[in-house]
Amino acid sequence: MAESEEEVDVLVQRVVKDINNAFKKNPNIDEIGLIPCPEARYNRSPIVLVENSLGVESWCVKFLLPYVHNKLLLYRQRREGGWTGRRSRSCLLFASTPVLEGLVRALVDITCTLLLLNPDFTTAWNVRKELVQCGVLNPERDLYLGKLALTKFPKSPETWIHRRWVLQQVLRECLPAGGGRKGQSEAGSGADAEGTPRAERLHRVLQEEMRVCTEAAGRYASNYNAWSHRIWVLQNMGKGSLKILHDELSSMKLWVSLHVSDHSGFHYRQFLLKAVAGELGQAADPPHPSPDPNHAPQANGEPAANGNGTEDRQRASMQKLFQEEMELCTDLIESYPGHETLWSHR
Amino acid sequence: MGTQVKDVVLKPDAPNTLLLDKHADYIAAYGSKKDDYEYTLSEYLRMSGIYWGLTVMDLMGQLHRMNRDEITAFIRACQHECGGISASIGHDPHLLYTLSTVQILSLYDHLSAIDVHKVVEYVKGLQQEDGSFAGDKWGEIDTRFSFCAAATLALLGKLDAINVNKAVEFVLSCMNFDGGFGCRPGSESHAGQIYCCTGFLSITGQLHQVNADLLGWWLCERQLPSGGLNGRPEKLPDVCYSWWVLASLKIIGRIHWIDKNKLRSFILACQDEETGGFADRPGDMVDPFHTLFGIAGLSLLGDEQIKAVNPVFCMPEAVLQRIGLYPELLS
Ligand SMILES: [Zn+2]
Repeated sequence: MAESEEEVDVLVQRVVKDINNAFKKNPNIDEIGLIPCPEARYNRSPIVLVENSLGVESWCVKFLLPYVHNKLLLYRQRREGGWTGRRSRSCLLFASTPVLEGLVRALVDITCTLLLLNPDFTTAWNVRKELVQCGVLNPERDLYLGKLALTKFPKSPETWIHRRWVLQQVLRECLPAGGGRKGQSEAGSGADAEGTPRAERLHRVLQEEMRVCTEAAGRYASNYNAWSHRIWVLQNMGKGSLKILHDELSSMKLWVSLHVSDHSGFHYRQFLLKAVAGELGQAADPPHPSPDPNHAPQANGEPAANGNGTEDRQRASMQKLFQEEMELCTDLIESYPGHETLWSHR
Repeated sequence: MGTQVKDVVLKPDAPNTLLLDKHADYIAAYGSKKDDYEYTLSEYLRMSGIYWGLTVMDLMGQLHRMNRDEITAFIRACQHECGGISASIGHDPHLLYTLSTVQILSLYDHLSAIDVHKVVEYVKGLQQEDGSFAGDKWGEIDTRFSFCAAATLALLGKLDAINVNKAVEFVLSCMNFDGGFGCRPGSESHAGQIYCCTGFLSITGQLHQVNADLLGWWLCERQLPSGGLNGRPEKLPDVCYSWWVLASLKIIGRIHWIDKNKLRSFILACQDEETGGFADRPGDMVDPFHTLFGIAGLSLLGDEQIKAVNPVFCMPEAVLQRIGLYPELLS
């Protein structure tokens, strides 16, 4: 099979193109994987699309990875020599000249292939950050790539780190009133352009993020990066929303019952309970400005209590929560004896 | 249902003596297979890889076998305008690789190979208002980076360049009710993060803020029947976690709370008798990362064939003595 340098070049370029065509053909790809296959089969692409799963035959990876790896570093070094310098200027250039449009497309394609193979390649994520910053890469589109990478590498620290940065960009675009967006370009907030309210976009992104976390937690037990990311999401995107906290508590109930030895899942429940307690403690104060008007502080669907009797009601509601937690825990310990996780949670 | 403890069983024929020569040969040969696919795959962390290799060679008294000139030239090519250092040429600078570089150059006593002043400015520039540290200009916050910042500056004798009080405040805000530490406030305790945080508090002389008995209890609960240590409850034992837990216990003065002989047997069983090197668990593939932490762990356990290792910096004690750096340890 292809061994000479030119042959490898041709082969690899075709594979990169096949991967990107697969995404065009099926924008709903939701899983990636490696197909064990030591040798190439004549005249057949190593990229296989089965329903919503994208597979790469293993024989081509040893050609593919070094190729996209070196290609990206080449672009990176060329950039050091000139085209960034000042960010605003490079953004302007991106938008105008066809050469740079081609460069952007190449960078998006190369980083995509590279990161699906090697998602901890920090610099490749950084290239995508710059593209998002310049408004030539849609943040949601970029989050989608990370989500795919996590189906194969659910722990990948750099993928989670990159997600937090992108989510901050989305937050910034959705909450412009907070100030501090000096010179930030509006580009990339496609949802706004279509007239969708910002709050809805934020809500959608948040829901999707929780799904990504659950999925990754299911693929690897006690997935520290997935759970600490989930905590970060709540701290940064769900501030002051009791509704979100309660939704999380109830949706996690089933999850922990199905994953009784997942220490991280239980730590997350503890975090939620503390967060609820914290919010209830503050509920007597004027309500927090919530990022989402649909999610003003409220407990179990009741309007946030105010005025007399508030404290009692809060205490009662907290007591009820902890009582329920103990019941859940006792049930689980009885059904699954011998799990250290359950005892330490209790 | 799955009531048995997650652990491994050491086979009776598992290695039970230290194969020092094999390990030195393994590390010396590692960098020579540069076209290897695996080598490309790990380029994004190359500088740390070099630090692991050099440190373990130094601990085994074999540092002279590594190519000092080549490494120095490589390091020079990795320092950026901003002062930060990247994992490899053409990659972006990051605090992780800045620390690895400073550690490497400290082993070689050759800090003049880089612009030290710029490194200090870089680290200083990554400190946030709340005292935390970002890993690079993109702003990710993690207690790991607090450790990297403090360790880098301490090795350079410039700890006073940052706001130490604020930095301590942030790390303490990541302490949990179990005495451990997580990556950020509210995050679960994790042996790797605990190592970073106790190391950070040692460098800054703040270990009295740790609840050593509570934390020591959590840490020695990591020991499994096989003797190996895990990083969190209900995880498998691993040589690298064995190091992080053991070093943390040493830092807080509770190393005698675990069964040292059993841990030693577990670490020795993770050696590959044929290729040399250590794996995460017996029978798995070896790598330089676990080889360093295997050897360093055995050193902390008192193996006299290996140089004494410093639990905070994971470098030979002799190197730190030369620099005049004596991080605090609880007794
Ligand atoms: Zn390990």
